[in-house]
Amino acid sequence: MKARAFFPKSEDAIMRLRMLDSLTRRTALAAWLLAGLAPSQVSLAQTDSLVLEVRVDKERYVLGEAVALTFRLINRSTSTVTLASAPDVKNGRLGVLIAYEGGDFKGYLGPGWGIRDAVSREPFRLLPGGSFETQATILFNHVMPTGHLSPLYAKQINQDRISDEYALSAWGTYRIKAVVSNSRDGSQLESQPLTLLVDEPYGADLEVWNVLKTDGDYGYFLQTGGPRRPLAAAKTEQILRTLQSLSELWPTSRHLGGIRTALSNYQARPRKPASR
Amino acid sequence: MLRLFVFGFAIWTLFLRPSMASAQCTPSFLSFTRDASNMMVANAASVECPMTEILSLGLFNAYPVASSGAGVRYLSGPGPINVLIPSPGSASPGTILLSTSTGGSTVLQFTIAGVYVLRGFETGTDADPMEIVDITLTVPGFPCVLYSVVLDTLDSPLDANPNAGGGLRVFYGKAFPASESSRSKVKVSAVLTTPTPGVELFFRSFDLDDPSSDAVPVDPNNIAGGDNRGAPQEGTLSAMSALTDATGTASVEFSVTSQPGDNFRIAASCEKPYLDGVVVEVLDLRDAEGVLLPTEDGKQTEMLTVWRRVHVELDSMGPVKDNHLAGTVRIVNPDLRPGRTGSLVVLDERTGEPDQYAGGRIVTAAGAFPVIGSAGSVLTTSVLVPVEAEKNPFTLYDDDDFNRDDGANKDGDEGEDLPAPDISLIQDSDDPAQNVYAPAYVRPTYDLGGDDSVPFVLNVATDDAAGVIATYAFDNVGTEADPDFWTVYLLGAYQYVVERDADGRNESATLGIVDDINGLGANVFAESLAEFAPKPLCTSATTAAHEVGHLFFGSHGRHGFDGGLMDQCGDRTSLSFTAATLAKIRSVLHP
Repeated sequence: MKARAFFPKSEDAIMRLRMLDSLTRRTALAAWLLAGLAPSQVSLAQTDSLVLEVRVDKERYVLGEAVALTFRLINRSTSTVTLASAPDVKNGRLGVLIAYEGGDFKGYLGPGWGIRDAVSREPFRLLPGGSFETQATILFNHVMPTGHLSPLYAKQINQDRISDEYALSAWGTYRIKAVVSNSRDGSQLESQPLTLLVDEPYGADLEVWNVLKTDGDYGYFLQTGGPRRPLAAAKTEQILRTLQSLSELWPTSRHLGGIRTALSNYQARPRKPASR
Repeated sequence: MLRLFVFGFAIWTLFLRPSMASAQCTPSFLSFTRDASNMMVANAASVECPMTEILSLGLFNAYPVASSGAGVRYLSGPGPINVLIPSPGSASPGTILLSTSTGGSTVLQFTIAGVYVLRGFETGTDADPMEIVDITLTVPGFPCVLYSVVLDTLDSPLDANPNAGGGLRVFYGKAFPASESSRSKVKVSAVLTTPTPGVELFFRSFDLDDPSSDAVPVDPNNIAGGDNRGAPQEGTLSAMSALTDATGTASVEFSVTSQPGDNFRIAASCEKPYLDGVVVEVLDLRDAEGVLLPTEDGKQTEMLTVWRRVHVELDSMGPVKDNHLAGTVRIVNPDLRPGRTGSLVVLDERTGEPDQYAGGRIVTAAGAFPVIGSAGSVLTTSVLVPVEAEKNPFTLYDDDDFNRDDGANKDGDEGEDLPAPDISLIQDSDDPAQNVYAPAYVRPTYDLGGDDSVPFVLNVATDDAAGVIATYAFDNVGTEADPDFWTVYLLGAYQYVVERDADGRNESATLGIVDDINGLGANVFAESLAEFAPKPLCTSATTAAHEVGHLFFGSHGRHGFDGGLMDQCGDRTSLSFTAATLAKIRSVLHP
């Protein structure tokens, strides 16, 4: 069963790759080949002093599955690099851009990204030869509604931002790159894009995706292990029930692990604010 | 009857006598021309019948028309008949309506096919005129000249727009949460120079240039109009034309769009084709001849700009409590490490993060002593602790002191009430120095009440939306997603999660946090702000303004930074929102 499902998807993915422009095709095919050779895929961006890498733990995902990214900032210079604080998606110094098929890169904004207003006693220092690593996942995307706007602005916003609550909302090939920004001088450091494939869902995967795609709040929960609108208790209950039901109805789905992890994380959450 | 005679004689004297001549009486149709002074004059054929006993001027083949409609023109009477025909070409028989009034209340409209004269004392009717004559009827004309077109309050007060371009402003949005009205409507009134009823005037609305910027992302099309964010960009008129009343005033309703900073003018004219040729030129209107309005043929309103209110529920947590660690001192030993002068105190409780209690104080049976370090269950003090403290209770306080009133006697702020966030930068004001949202055409409004005794939370439980929202007592959450009643929540809180409250060794602090981008509300952490000696750009006031900015989609980063006030405290160099943030504030459906 697995073999039968695999080959049609592989052929289909290769068909889609043929549609990419030659440069992208070479990159994607290289990634495709690397998939069988290495446990993860690495992309690099070389500058005079800093290199930013982003990698994923696998190259193929199913629609609705959270993609785990690992970012690595490497100082290859002979001097210490200093930033006001460590780059992180939560504080916004680290961002992610995603392009679907041959399209333009658009900004992804995940749960809690770019909002943590932290001050540090000491600046972030990356010593010569040192590196810094951090992780994040992509799944739910904050959409800025544009239906109420005139086309001039709706287009402007949707050119820059992903306009679907699921960052990877269609099967196909995606390119992902990371960006570290330095607000003080406006400079940015981008990684080389990596390529990953999102498979067209079949069978159990399709059944689960057909539910998830109806509401971005499922994606939010799967990604964070918590509800997006905790005050809406009924909605939270509905999400919990639905995800529990999906895990029981479709145990062969590739979503199963993600669903169970999210439900487990939710159950493990502290129920009361912290105290001494 | 006498009055009828006198009236008829007057008509004969004024209009008919000069043209009296013997002829067959046959009806003729009115025709209209415009004279050199733009006066519309109605004319008919010459009188061809001798008229000796004219008593009244009536209407031939007249019948009531149910209502006015597009293209309707009016003659009015009795008495001097005024005619307004904006377009000479429209003055063909059968399309001209005449209105009469009785007692000033009933208005009938008639189609004119000609005029007739009743002779003698007989009481002819429209359907059975006694004798039909052709006459020359010269109706006194008047120029259709607008005096002005003005905006008036309809359901939201109008006042002066304090931002670029001036003019008037209207606050879009419900007055209260349960209101059915989004208060988008403004009355537009065009007034004739000569008070004349029944004159049709035409209206057209325009989307002017955004005067606050000529660059993306705020204004992507430079100095051109057509850059309003709301749709339809030019707003909505209730009708494209309206008839004047007895004062010569015609009015329509204009509905503005919902986005702050959208701006408009409405032009009015006697002639629709004239308005069709009008175009926007930056903040002005120019007609097809290239002349800026106002002209003799067209007038314009002042610029009208949309502002919004964001209704803030401003709460604060109640008195601090349970901000200490209590237990029993197990062992007290002198600290014999080089340079140390105090004691090592072993407790029967663990002290959390390394150095969480550094800078704090331990109160024992032998007195109170400054703490300079903590790890595991061991404290380091700066002075010797007498052994009498052993086996006795202790109370341990960290360095928390949100209002800096403790000095060396740290007491965990216990019993001290937390303040609401400083709103000095988000006041209900038009002054950008007092309201950083003013350049985005938004005024924070504090009309939702407030609760200064929200249950105290020492640290937010989890570093996510659920953790932050768990601290809220958001009474007005029902309207947080209402596009017509922008509502946000702002809570004066104590500290973010334990890992980010600056209490641990070299630990960073989060000064404020929203539950998420475009979320429900925000915490502003009084203790963390105090922990990092406030700088002018990192205060409770700047944090409050910054956090509310997140609710409008403002972001520290993501494919470039918003910058300005949306920068993190450590990077911040400005107390103003950048164009990137202003554009977001002006574009959101709701914060």
